[in-house]
Amino acid sequence: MAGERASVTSLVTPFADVRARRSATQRALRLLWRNRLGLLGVSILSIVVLAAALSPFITPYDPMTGDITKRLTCPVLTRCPSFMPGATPVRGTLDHPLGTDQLGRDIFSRIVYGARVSLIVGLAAVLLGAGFGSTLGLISGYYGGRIDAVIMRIGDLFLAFPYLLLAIAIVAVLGGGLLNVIIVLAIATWVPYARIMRGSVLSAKEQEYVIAARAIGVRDLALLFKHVAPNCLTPIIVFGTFNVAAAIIAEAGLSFLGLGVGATRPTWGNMLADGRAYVATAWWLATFPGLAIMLTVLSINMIGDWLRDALDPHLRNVE
Amino acid sequence: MGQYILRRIIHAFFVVLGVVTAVFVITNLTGDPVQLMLGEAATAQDIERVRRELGLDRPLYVQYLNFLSSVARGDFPESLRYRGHSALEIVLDRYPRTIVLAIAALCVSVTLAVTFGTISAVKRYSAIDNLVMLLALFGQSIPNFWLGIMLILIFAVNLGWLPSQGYELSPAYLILPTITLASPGLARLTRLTRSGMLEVLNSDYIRTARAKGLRESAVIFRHAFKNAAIPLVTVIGLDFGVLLGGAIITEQIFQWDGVGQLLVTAIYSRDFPVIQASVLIIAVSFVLINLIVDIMYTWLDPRVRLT
Repeated sequence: MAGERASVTSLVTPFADVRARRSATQRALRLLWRNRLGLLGVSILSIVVLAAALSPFITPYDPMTGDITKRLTCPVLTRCPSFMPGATPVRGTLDHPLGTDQLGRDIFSRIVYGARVSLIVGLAAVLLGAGFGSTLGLISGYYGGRIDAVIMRIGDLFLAFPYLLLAIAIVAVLGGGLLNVIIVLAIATWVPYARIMRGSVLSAKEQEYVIAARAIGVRDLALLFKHVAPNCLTPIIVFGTFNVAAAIIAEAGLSFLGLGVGATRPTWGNMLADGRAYVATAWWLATFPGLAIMLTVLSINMIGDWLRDALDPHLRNVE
Repeated sequence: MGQYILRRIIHAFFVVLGVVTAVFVITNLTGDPVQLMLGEAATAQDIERVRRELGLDRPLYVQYLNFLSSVARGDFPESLRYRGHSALEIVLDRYPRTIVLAIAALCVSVTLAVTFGTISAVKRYSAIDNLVMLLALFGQSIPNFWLGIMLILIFAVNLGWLPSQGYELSPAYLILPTITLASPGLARLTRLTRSGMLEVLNSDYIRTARAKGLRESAVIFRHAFKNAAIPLVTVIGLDFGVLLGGAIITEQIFQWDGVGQLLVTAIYSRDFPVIQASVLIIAVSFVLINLIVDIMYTWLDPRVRLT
C-alpha cells in the first residue's frame, strides 16, 4: 500500500517541474556568464573560501604567536612610522607583507585564519536561521488559523528588537563563543524567513499539484517537505545569500565590541578592535581586516544580486 | 481611518508588552542573574542578600508581575555601577544623545538616497546610474565600524580637520559619527528609491502626465516621487531601528556618550538593571516609531484608509 502510494505520489511531480528546475539552473549559469559582477563575486568568494580551507598550508606564521622584536612592523613597500624620536625610518619587507600587530603577530596569517570564523559563522547562522524560520513559515502558512497567529505574533515580537540589539542582548546573557554567536545570529534572523516561506506557501497550497497530492492521501509532513517546500525555496535562497553577508558583518561587529567568538581566536572583528587603539600610529592594523570583510561581503552581495536576477524574473524587471 | 489607527495602537501595545516580557525572560531564565552580576568570587551570603533585595527569591510569576508593575511606573532597580541612581534615570539621561545621532544619520541617508536614487532612475543605464549603483553596492558591503575607523584615520589623524572622538553638540563632533551611522542605510535606500522610481516611471499615469505636456521636473517630483515615496516610508521606519542598533557600535568607536555606549559598558560590568533598561528603551522606541510610520501611511496612501 505504502509503495503504491509512493509511486502515485511520484506521478504528482510533473515532468514539466523537473524540466523547469533544470532550465532554471541552466538559465542561472548562463546569466552568471553574462553577469560580470556575479562572476567577479564568485571568483572573489572562491579565493576567500580556498584561503580559509587551506589556511594552515598557506600562512607563513602561526596566527596566535607573535615575535615581540617585530611588533608593529609596517606592510611591504611602505615606510614605517618611527616611534622613537630621531630614529631612522624603516621600510616594510616581504617577510610580513601586511605587517605585524602590537604583539608582533603576522597580519596576513591572522586575516587568512580569520576568514574561517567569518565564513563558518555566516553560513551556519544562515542555515540555522533559514531552516528554523522556513519550517515555522511552512507550518504557519499551511495550517493557518491559531498556529499561524501564534507564530506570526511571536515573529512580530522578535522584529520589535533591532537586529544587532537583540544579538547583543542575548550574547550579554548567554556569553560569547563560536556556537553562541551562531545561535544568537540565527535567533535574531529567523523571522524574515518564516514570513517569506509563509507567503510562498499561502499561494502554493492553492495550486493543483498540492490539491492533487492531498487528494491521493499524501501525509501532511511529506506534502509539506517533499512538495510544497521545494517549490517555495527560491526567495529563501536569495534572501539567505544576502543574509550571509549581513551575518559576517554582525559577527565582526560583535567581536569588535568584545562580545563575539572570544579573544583566543583570530577574527576580523577582534583585529579591527585591536587596530582601533593604534589607528594614529599603525594604520595597517585596522585597514587590512576591514578590507577583508568588505571584499568578502561585496562578493556575497554580488552573488546575491546575480541569484536574484537569475531566480526571480519579477525582481529582475524591477531593478 | 480611526479604526485602523486604533487597531495599530492596540497591536503596538501588545508588542510593547511582549518586548517587556522578552526582556524579563532573557535576563531571568538563562541562569541566575545574581550569580552573573556578582561573578564567581561572590559568597553565598552576598548572593542571598542581593536575591532578597531584588525580589528574586519569590516565585517567577510574582517576579514577572513585579517587573511589569515597575516598568509601568518607570521604577527600575538601582544601577549596580552608578550607585544611588535608578537604571532608567541613567538611560534616559543618555537617550537624547543617541536620538540626536540617529536623527542626524537618518536625515543624511534619506536626503542623499532620495537624490541619488531619483537621478539614477531618471538617467537609467547612463554612466551616472552605473556609478551610483556601484557605489551603493560598495556602501552596502562596507562594515560601518570599519568605515568609522577609516574616517578617523583620514579626517582626524592625517588631516586633523575633525575631532576623532567625544560628545559635544557641535557639527564638528557630529559629522564623522553621522556619516558612519548613515552609510549602510544610505546604500540600501538609494537602491530602493531607484527601483521604486523605475516602477512608477513606467506606469500609465506618468505617460499621461508627459502626454499632457507637463514639465519633466513636475512629472518626476509632483507625480512620480509622491508614489515612489510610499514604500520608502516603511523602510525608513525600519531603518530607524537599524540606526538605533547600529548606534551601539558607532557610539563605541567615537566614544559618543549615548545609550549604545552605556549598554556596552553595562554588559562589561554586568550591570543588569541598566542592560534591561537600555534594551527596553531602544526596543520600545523602535515599536513607537513604526507605529507613527503606520499612522503616517494612512495620510500618505488613501488605499490604507479604505481597507
